[in-house]
Amino acid sequence: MLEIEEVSIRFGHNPEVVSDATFTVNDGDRLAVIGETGSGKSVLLLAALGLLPASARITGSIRLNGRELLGCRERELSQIRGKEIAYIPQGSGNGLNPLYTVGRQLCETIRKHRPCTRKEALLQAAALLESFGLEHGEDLCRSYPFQLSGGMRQRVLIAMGIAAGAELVLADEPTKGLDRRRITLVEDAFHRLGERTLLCVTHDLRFAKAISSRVIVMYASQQIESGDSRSFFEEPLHPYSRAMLEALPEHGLHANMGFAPPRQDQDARSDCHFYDRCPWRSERCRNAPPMLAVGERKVRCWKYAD
Amino acid sequence: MGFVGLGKRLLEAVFIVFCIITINFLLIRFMPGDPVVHIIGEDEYLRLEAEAPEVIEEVRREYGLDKPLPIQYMTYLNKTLHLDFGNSYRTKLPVLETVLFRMRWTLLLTIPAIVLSSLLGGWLGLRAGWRKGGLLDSIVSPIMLFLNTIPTNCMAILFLMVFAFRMGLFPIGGITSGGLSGLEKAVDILWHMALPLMILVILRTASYYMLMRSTVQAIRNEEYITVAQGKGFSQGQVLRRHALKNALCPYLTSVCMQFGHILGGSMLVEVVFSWKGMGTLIYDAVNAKDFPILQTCFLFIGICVVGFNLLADVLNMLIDPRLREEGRHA
Repeated sequence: MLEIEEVSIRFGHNPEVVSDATFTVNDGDRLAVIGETGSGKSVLLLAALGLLPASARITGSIRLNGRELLGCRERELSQIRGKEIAYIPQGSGNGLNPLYTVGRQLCETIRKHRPCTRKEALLQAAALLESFGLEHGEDLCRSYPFQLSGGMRQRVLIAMGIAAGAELVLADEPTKGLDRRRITLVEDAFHRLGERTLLCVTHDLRFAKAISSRVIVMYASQQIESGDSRSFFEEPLHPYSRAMLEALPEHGLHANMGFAPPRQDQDARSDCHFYDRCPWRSERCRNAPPMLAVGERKVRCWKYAD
Repeated sequence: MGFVGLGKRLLEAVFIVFCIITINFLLIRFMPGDPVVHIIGEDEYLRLEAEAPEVIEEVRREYGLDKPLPIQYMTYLNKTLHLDFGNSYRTKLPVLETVLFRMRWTLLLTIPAIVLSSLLGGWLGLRAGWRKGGLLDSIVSPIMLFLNTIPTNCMAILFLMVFAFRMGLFPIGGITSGGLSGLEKAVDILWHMALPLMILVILRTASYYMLMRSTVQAIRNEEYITVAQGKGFSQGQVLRRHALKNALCPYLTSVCMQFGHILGGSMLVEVVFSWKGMGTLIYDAVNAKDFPILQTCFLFIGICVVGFNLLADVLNMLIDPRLREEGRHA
């Protein structure tokens, strides 16, 4: 169980990139955090891993199975990373070191947390790759990252993330830069994660729909909506969520609200973060709305206050 | 290992050396004026031209300059292959011996300089680049940047004035005081080496440092570094396992390029400290229009540059599997 409570993050004296994020990922949950680039979702993931640069200032609390991670010593964190929390990077980047074979990088992860011989680790690695639908695991172990396709690399990275047996998987835009067919393969790999708890940050709505059981939407550093995946995709509550789902290509090629203008002097403003773009805005939106409960779901919009 | 790619590179290298030899030959032939002028000197040439033109013809025959160009070229190639570079115009001594003798002294200076500075600059740059904005980075980087902007000869003269002339800690110039032997001589040479070596090490360390620092900074932002940290490796482990090897490719290439210049690259320092190495040899030969010496020096320097570039290619292929693959398809 990962509990994130009132977490705010800023770099130096810049405006907050994440403000007051509060949510819990229960064991077995598959939570997708949706938001556009720059909405602060990736930063939140790195904060949970303790991998933000020194210039980041974090307040609040991030607890893994009741244990506080913020302010934890580097040594303790490195015991948790890989072993209890798996990290899966973006699909487009080079998450695999170009100079080492796939097998070597997988073994490195396995042997870091469970001492065993290289041979044993290699067998495990091959089996693990095969369990993710990658054929010829042993051959794959001998190849270098540049010899694999983008979709294969990403599936290798997913396997590598959980190689040391982590039960909580943090994925950072795992489909970024992949085409539709490759994304389907990655979706398949995520389904093979089984009972593991998943926290996946993405701006790919279809991917989020395919893999998640719960959804959180972030906009301009804030959480603006959360709820179970099915009802969210059937009927989004927040005007931003609605606009986002309407903009999917299957609803025709139009962005009915235009593109996001940069939000200026955020710290000085007290209105709703979505005020400038909202089609439903009214006088009371000049005051920032709190998270309001709508049944089992939550949304940050005054429209649901009554 | 991509042997095909390697073979191709090797052939390329041989071809380039051949080109250097040819250009070396043509350069002198196409210079304005009669080559004999350069051989016997302008004053002598004018005197002989007026008094005894047959002597000039004799010199021409002696040096084979009366034959057609292709034949001269073949003779030149043949002699080069047999390492016969003729005699110096100035000292009349065999060129090869002179150059090899001077080369020893230059190598004595440049090899330790490159080894020391590449290790020191690389290590410091690695540390500073890994922790951008950290203590080491903020203190050392401005200093290195400043050192990087100082021209070699400027620093050499400054050091000479302060440490040798004013403070008298080191000799003003030369290689050895003479009249010594055995251990005493070795110590004396080291003492004479100290200042020029120091300057070479300082300047090269600065440039290696800047290179390594920017390389490591770029690598630190790579995704696989975050992934490696996510696996639970400590900063030091990630640096050693994943950053170092990736930084090594561009760094080794640069160090090898520097090694290519081990013969001619220290000329300014050599001249300032009257270190009788290849640098001063070239400098004196230019002043004296001593072409056989110059040709041979250029050839050796050229071979050195080509050879170490080849070495850089091979090292990179050993490190980076992508380059091996490229060679295989070539």
